[in-house]
Amino acid sequence: MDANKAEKSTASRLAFLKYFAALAAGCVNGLFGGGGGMLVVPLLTSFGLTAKKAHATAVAVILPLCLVSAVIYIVKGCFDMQLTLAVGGGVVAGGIAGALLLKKTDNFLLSMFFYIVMIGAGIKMAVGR
Amino acid sequence: MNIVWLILAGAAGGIIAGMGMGGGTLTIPILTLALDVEQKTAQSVNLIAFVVMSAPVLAIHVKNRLVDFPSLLKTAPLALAGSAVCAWFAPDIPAEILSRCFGGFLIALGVWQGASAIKNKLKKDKSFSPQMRPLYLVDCQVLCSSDKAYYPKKFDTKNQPRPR
Repeated sequence: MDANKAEKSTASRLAFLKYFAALAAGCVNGLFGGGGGMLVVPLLTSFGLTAKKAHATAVAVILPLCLVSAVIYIVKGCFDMQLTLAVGGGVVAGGIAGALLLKKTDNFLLSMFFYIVMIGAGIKMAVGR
Repeated sequence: MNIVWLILAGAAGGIIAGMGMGGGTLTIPILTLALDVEQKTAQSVNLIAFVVMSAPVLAIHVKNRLVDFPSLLKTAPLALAGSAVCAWFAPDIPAEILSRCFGGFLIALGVWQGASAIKNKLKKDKSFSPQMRPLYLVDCQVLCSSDKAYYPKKFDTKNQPRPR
């Protein structure tokens, strides 16, 4: 009986943690304009989804967030038409290329390289220019 | 401001995003560190670019039935609320503080994701190393690289009538 109760309370605590994680992912995405997906994917995997489904569902979670945040950013005046067009065009082209590349490469080394670059950029930004 | 560099920066972020590794986390530092774009502008550019790029991607995922709607309903409302509130306050935060916090977030994310990638890799290698005969090892690796199920499928309850 006691064990059952304890199990129930840990389960509910876990559920609470997961809701909190969703909230945190939303906050990060709104505050930093990206990166929420990196938090949502592990969260969805913890619901028992496969990696592929978790990625697809993460896009569905993040898309409305980005839409709402983008509208708020534009309303608040953080917007540069020329910059958006140039970078946006590059992102779309690169995105298609990346999706095609993904099927061909074993990307352990590539992702390691990516994480090292990420940490390096993070240190540079945290220290300040 | 050189447009070619901007497009290249976008493409670099886009390739990473297309591979499913969180492109925005790379696009923003490239824009701010290398091209001297202001932090908040870089964020808004990244948000808009993501919306444009992932709308068709999402349509394809929905069509392929890869989107799990129960978990979507569980996560989306709270995430949406959090993001709307934080996006409302983000433009009022001084850019320097924002970019320093973003740097901290990048470090944490990089360490965490890198560690879990290494852990997965080690786990995968370990399961193939123990005392197997050489032939078995080859078989396993062939199976592994062929991307097929290791075991025969179990009784398919959906498509076949249950025996009574």
